[in-house]
Amino acid sequence: MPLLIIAVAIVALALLLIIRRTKRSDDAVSDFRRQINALSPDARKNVTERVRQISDESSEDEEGESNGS
Amino acid sequence: MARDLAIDLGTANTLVYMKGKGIVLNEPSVIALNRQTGEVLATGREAWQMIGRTPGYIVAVRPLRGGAITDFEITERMIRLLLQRVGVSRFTRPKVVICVPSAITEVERRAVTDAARRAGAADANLIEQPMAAAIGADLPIDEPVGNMVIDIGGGTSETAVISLGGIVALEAVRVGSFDIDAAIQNHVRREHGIAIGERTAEEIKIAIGSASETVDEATAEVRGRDLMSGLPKTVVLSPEEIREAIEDPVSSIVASVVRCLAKAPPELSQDFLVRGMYLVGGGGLLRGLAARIERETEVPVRMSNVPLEAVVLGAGHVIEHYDALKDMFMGARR
Repeated sequence: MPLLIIAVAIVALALLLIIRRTKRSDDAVSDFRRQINALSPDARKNVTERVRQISDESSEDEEGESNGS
Repeated sequence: MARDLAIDLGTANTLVYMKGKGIVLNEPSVIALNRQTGEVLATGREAWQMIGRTPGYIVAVRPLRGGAITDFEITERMIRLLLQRVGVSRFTRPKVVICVPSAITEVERRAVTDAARRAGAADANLIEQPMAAAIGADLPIDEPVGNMVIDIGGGTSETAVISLGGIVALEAVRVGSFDIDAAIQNHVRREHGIAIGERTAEEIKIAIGSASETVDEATAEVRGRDLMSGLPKTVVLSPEEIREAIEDPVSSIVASVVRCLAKAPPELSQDFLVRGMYLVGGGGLLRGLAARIERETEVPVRMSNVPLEAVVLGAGHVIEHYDALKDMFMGARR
């Protein structure tokens, strides 16, 4: 009986380890995918918008200066 | 509830991006102190105007050199004041992402994060400047293609090849636009016998400095103190002599770009010929520098639309997508 319990425990532990390892590799894949998605042009719309805003403002300033001089 | 922040803690300027709001602060990284009491008298633009013009009891200093903290205590006080100015208090402790040169040492990294935490940040993480610059310059770094970015700051110049959200090749030198200013100061002192301050040297660089011959070249009149008589004196400087004077720092920067190109894997190298390299940072605005790099590497060089803000915008994007991009922090799992 005790041998059976030990065998079951070992099998359960092995299964647990296999599941955890598979989950970890799945996690790595999804983390990487999430990172790449967060760097995609869609996700970066805010940055693009701010870049456009800043370059518009600076070109307006330059126009103002050249009109003023 | 504190809004999280991204900080571009540059040798020359400090920019702060607030989550959901955009850039909320853009000031020179300068602090003015009372030499006797140690009290802070001014920071940012106000302190910058004091450089070289202070009475004996006031000192206006840049607490960062070559992208690294040279005076920990002063940097901490400067960061604390900057955070206060953007609304961070003792009760609102934001998460902070700070852009630093990729070549800083472990000790220097620790100094920056400790300074930010002690200044009021709940959590401080670092991101490499070229990576932030590539995001801020809106390069397609999520794709498996070679993106090359050259970030020329006040104290460091970094060139990186980025693909699939990671740095593939990197080359950094602790040479930046302050070294160009110093070269101009030395030249004027040696060849014309007059002493000029670092702000005047910067003005000369902006007015007539160039890395290669340009079409609209003019001379500049400079006033300084005659080293022999001690009296004010005016001299006329030509663009050729300034170009020669700054040749050493300029060629160091160009050589580091060439070394980075040599480190890049061949599959990515061919992408540069089509896509070009992107120049960001205040130092990249030096007249003729893009043309000089283009001539020496035979790779097209493009100027970012936002050369001065690209780094903080990139870090701002990281703070907006903190959980998805936290693996990009220095020292995180790669």
